[in-house]
Amino acid sequence: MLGSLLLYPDGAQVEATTALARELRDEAEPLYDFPFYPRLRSVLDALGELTEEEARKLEAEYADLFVLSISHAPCPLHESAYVDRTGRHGGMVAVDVGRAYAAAGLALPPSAQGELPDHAAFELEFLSHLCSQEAQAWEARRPEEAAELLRVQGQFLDRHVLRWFPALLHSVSVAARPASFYRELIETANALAVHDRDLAGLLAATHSSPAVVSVEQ
Amino acid sequence: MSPGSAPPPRLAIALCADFEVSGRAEVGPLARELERFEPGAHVEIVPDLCHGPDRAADVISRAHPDRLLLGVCTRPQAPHDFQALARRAGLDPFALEFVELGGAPDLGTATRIAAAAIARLRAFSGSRPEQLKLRLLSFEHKRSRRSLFTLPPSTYEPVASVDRGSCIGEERCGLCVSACPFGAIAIAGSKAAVDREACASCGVCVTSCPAGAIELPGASLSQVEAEISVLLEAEAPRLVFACRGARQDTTGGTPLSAGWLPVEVPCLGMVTPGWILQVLARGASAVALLGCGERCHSGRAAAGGNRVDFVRELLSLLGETAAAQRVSLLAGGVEPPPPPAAPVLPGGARGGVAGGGITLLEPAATAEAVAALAERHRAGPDVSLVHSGSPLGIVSLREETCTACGACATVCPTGALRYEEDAEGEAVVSLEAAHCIACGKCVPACPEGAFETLGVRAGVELAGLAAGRIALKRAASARCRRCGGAIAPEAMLSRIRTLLEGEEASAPLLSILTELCSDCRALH
Repeated sequence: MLGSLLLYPDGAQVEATTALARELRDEAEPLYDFPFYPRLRSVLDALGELTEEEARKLEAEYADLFVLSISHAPCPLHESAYVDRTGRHGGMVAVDVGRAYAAAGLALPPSAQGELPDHAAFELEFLSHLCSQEAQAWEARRPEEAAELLRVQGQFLDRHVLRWFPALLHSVSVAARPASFYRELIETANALAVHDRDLAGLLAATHSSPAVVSVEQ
Repeated sequence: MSPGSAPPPRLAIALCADFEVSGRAEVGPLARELERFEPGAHVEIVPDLCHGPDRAADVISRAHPDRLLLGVCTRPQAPHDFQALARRAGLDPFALEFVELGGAPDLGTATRIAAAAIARLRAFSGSRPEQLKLRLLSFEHKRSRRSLFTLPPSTYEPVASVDRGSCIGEERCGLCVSACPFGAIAIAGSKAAVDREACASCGVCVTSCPAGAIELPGASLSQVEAEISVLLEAEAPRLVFACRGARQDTTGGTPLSAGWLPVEVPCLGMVTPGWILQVLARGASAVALLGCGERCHSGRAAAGGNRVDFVRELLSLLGETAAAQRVSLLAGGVEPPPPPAAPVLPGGARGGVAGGGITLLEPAATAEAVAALAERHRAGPDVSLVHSGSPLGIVSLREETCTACGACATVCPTGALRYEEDAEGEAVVSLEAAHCIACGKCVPACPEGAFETLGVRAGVELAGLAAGRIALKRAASARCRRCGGAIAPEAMLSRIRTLLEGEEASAPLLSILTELCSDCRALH
């Protein structure tokens, strides 16, 4: 869901995510334990109670921060803008991200309309996909496969998401107004990524632990 | 959607109803004292708080605090349970703190300790995602990440983090890298970065950073400063800096029962001489360092001894007759000695540092406290101590071989050494002794090292501290024959001429180097 919020917030997009936000807010009890939850809750609350006027403001803010001009956006949503030392848009960074998707049997859909694979929305969506696959592996009692998926998640977080999300957060913190939805959103995504890296690492490291004997059905 | 400016954090204080002093229930008066100390805080007396995380959860649901202080008789066996409950209520994992009040000799002491803990918690600015390290407590539970219902119970430990904006960086500093006992800090992209998995939360890096760029939630300098400031309001207090591991060893709050006020730190390696000197200068009658001895996981026990030794020697030189009694080093499980009766400073027990809050950031902490103690003791300017435990340095420079090239100043992390041109166009290398941290980076940077031109020793010289910034070397600058601008100090060019003398092939280069400034060289 966080990934989809980083796509352009047109009417249909906002409608879909607000519905999802309400649903998630009602079912979020298992997330209460995580330190990033208060931030997430703030995002869900903002989305769940979004008025038409606020939705229009959201669109304007998105344009100001991320779209203004592709090469001069204050806070580009592409990894290459932060890590490619040649300053090239896309380039080898996008190729490398695309390879990671391909290795998992994924490709960008036609609806991506030429968007590059190193966009924040796709990177987060990819992690969500891996997480879902991992859950299925646990539930089907395939711990080896689950551990491998955890390793891939950790690797993708290290090589991509965590290499540039802190810089993106810094850019948004500088450019956005104080009560900015997108600032809150990027803060949440960054906190979740940092947390998930820890969790994936710990779960993968203890995969072969003799104490791990039972797997939830 | 999110608040524009954050309101001050709401504070709740829960006190165990079983709290007593010498067998007499004193929780009511304690609660009233804390309400006076912290108006606006939610103060509540809770039955059986020490054993019931659920009781703490009730307080959270009633008060909706951002910070929660639990005043307990003894530290609970499973603090993680309390943290988990607080997290589920939306609190920052480190916004909950325990203050152990059992064993306090009197109500005044208990109040002082609780008030200090409140100040420490108030100064907590909240943790950032990179400052949290997740730890899974048990894998005996069923798990599936997708459902999230079945994760093992978890807790969060604090991790140090570097403010890259304030970090001096690799070229001039890197002190934290060598200070970390666990090799958890490395340079990434010219600035220091913490390996979160390797970090053991000892806090040694926090006090090794001369820029104050490293923060450890729960043990940040601002938090400890706030806590100590409250403790120092007591009459001639006796403070014990206690390693967390050592405190957990001492049963029944031993330091408290001996009349000492505790300041808990993650590791004694974090406590610098400046901390000890600061509290003595501000009115403490004695300071003890309670370490965990040979079990010390950071291996910094020896460093503690060296620091105590330095402080004692310095105090003796300043005129303190009972230095050994004022400052002591203890191992885990050992009770601090009976404190000395006489005040440490002539002219009364209260502090010798004029105005302002306490500062624990080195080297300012040591420099400021030494100046105050020297004034109180009327120590002469000839006091000088060379000691490896000193956070300050003594710089010596051989004027006759120094070329005033300024290479030393370019690597000095604190700006103690500075290179500039004065109004007359002379090149000046100057020193502010109070800023020198004896890191020694300037010594290998000096191109005249063969002549032992520059030397640095760890130590304190009162005369140097009192002098402020002084010029170590002045040299006339050679002028560009084309534009008249400064090229470099004449002494430096003279040295280059000597080196290249007799080499015919170097003559044109020598001419360009010594007669034209860098701008005009480009046009040549």
